[in-house]
Amino acid sequence: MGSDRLTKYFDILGKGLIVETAPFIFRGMVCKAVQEDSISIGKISELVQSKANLWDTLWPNGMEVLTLYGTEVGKLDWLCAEWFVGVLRESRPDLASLFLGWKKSNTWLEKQIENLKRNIEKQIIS
Amino acid sequence: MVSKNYNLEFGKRLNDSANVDEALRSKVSISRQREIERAQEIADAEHEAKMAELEKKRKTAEADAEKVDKKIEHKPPFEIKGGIDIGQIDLQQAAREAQAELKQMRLEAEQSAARQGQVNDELREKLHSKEIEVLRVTFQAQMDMLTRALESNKANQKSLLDQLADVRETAKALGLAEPHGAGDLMIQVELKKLDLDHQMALRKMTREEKQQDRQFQLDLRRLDDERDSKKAELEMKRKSSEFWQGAPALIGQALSDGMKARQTEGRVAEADSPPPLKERGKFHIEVGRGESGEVDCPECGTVIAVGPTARKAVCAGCGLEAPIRRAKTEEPEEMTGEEQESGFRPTY
Repeated sequence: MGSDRLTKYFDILGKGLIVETAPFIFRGMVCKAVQEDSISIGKISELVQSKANLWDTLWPNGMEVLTLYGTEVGKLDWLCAEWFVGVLRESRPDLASLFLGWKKSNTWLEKQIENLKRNIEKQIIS
Repeated sequence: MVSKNYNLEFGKRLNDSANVDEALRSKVSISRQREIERAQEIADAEHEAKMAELEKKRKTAEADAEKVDKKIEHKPPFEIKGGIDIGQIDLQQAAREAQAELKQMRLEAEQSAARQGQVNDELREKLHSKEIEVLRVTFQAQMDMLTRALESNKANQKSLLDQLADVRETAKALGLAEPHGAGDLMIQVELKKLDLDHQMALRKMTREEKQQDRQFQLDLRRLDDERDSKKAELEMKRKSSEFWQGAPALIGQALSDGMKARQTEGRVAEADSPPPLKERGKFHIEVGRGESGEVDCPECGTVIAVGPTARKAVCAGCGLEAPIRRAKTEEPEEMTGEEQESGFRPTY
């Protein structure tokens, strides 16, 4: 499903619905993305060690897409490292335990989320 | 010669002329009169004779009596005298005792009478109740009989026409002539009218029954349809609510699929070969320096990840924390048979 259809949904449904359902939508996206075999403990460890971008790993141009549609959502107070680890607990408990036990990975995750929020704010301002 | 003054032996002297005729009528002949006188004389003589005789007898009797009296006056040679002493009799005491006894007897008699009266009352009550019971039973029996008779009459009650036929038969048997003329026709006409009314009423009743049945069936069907439509509505509502509840997750999954589809083709996902399971060791985890992997939680069995530089491992399922002890390892070695027994699974 491409961005065209997503744009169409935004146009049809309206912002209010998207704002309310944004956490659920993002949850579904993350669950689906981490189910891939490529997303393993080793892979995440590599990403943490290399300080790579999480969103681009989960989705192609994930940072760009999330920034673009994040502007439509508005407030993202709910998006934090705890929320992300909570989503992983359900779908990938091993990855969740990695973030819980390995402090470096937790710090890295928090940074990734912060970067995303900052980009969205920049986009909104611009 | 007949004198005016008649000296009748038998009657009073008649001096008045009024009785002369009577004397003449009842005149007795001289001879007869003489005969009568003579007889009277004879009778007188006989009477005197008798009287004399009687006098004589009296005298002799008196003489005899005197003799007897003389004999009686003769006293016996001895006398017997004596007396009986019946003791002291107190009549007043006796009277008092008799009165007391009388009073006692009267009291006893009154008590006995009172008891008898009570017994009489009780017996009277019983008799009354028995009589009432008898009346009631009799009445009930009669009522039952009447009821049965009425019911049997009702069951055996014939229709008007049948009764009329019976009456005609009875009349014929008695020898009465059947009335002819307009009366009979009128009766027949009335009977026909009654029959017609009866049939019309029956038809109307049957029609109404059918109509009510039809209406009932229609109502039933309408209610069934309403129920089915409500069920379908509820089912749709449930499905739509389920859809809307899961829609955000579906949208997210769809978005993720869409974004994944932008990947270039030919990219092969890295797949770690699942390392052989090792036996669970102690509470802590021993790994090599810089090594990452996973181990099963001894508590809940959830996979616990081990970071390359992590100092502890936390189970996401139960929150178990396990310290990590890192041993010096130069290169990652191949899994030997012994290492396969431990729980740690390194990732390369």
